[in-house]
Amino acid sequence: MKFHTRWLLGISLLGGLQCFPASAESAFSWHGFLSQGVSQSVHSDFVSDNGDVSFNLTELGINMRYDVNASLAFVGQAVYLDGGNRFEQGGRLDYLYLDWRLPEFSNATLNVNVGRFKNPHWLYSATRDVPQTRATIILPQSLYFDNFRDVALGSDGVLLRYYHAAEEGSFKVNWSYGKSPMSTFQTKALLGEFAQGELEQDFAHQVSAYWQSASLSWQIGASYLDSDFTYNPAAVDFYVAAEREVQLYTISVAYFAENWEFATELQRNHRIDQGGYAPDYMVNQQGEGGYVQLRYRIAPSYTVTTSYDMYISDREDRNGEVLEAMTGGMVPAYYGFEKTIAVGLQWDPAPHWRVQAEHHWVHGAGRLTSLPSSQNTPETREHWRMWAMQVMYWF
Amino acid sequence: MSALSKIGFRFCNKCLFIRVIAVCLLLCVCLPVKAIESTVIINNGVEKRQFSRTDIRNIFSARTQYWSDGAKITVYVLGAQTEAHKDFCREMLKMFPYQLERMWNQITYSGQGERPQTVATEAELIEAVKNTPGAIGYAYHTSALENVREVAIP
Repeated sequence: MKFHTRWLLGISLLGGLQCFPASAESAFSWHGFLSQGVSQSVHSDFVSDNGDVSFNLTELGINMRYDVNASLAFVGQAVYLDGGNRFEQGGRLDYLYLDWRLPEFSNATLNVNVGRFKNPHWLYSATRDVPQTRATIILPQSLYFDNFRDVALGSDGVLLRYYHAAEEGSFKVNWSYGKSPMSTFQTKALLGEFAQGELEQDFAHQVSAYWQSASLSWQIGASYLDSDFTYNPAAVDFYVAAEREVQLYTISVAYFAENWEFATELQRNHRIDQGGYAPDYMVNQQGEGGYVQLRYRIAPSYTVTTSYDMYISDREDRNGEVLEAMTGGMVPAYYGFEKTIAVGLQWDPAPHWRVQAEHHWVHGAGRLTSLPSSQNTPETREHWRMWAMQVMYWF
Repeated sequence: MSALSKIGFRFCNKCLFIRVIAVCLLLCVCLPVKAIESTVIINNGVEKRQFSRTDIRNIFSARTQYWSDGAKITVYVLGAQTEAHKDFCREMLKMFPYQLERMWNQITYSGQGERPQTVATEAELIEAVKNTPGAIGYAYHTSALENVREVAIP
């Protein structure tokens, strides 16, 4: 979709909806967001192949909720995304589910979500698709890997959300089981550009628990994910049939003060690959990553953010030297890790408006999916950088 | 002046300094900056009588969307930048305004519920609570309250 066409669509959508404002007590409600930005990755194909300044940073979304009664509601959200090489360009249904709320018992609630639900298991996973909720335009890639956005955002299945609030603090537990459809873009993101077959997620089983102090200053949580993938090769394919098992173990901590806040998430992953390059090919490795992030409100409308993000694809090969040796030097060692320092600024010039800008300095290419091969020579250097600026409006 | 009296003079000066500091600290403790005291108000038709602070927190953070009789809760608040709203967040909800905004965003944009309605003035807020069945809000000029019920929070 051309730049002006997508914005005409967005403005028409906004104008149309504003003509039909929902009354306060209406059972139907909707919200949305429109954002446009500009970004560039220098010496890397993270944003665009040629490293030019790119206006492919568009996010348009509309969500709705219809309350059938006090315990039953239908909710959904559709978005249009263009993030250059970061996401698959186009529209998608982020979530569409039936929200069934069981009767409250002793300050505890239980919601059952059936359909395409939104993943609530990490600190920002439930709102990673909403521009005005993100501390930075580009989230820490160790956990919030852009190429896997659609798979990580939610699943088709069932989610249970338990929440207990008390004067001493609150406690919530989330459990989900489902699977996500895998697009050609995501197949290539996971397996490389020459995969011709179909990748399927067999299941994703997740559980998380969070505790928040009575003062709401502390939020501490842990989560676990177990997922299997199957690759069915095409008749003529670079790859043979393959399977991948993945487990993720995540710890999340956030601290909130009046003018500043701190957040960190640390993750260990364990993956077993069988097949793919050859029927007897097998990889069993553990990687790790995480980020620390500090935000400070320098004035009511201005917030500065700084973060450090780190990802190691194999804990036994932290510098990627084994990776380089195993590929005969075809894949440089710096594709085995990625370390990023980012600084950003948010400015809220008016209610419902935000301007956000940031710069990232990156060492390594461990979270880039365009891997070097005999038929592919990506432009990413060992040290690269990127910047982005985005204007957003929400309603 | 003898050495002893010099020491005594210094000692007295020190005492005076300590007294001034003590008085300042006492004034700070006894005369804090006056907070805007707000009261939770609800529509006269709401049946619920007893509210805990957890109830109020759950309602204003949009976690609780319905009264126990199945009626929809409509929450009214003032703008995020107003002193009254900031004070309500700190004193009544025991959280910072930006935390409340985050909770609303998380609930709204993951389809879990509806964020509160923002109005421009206290008079509008009181009027909205008065005229909307199942509504709740807050007010800080309690003498102006008519046809809404004040809620006592233990």
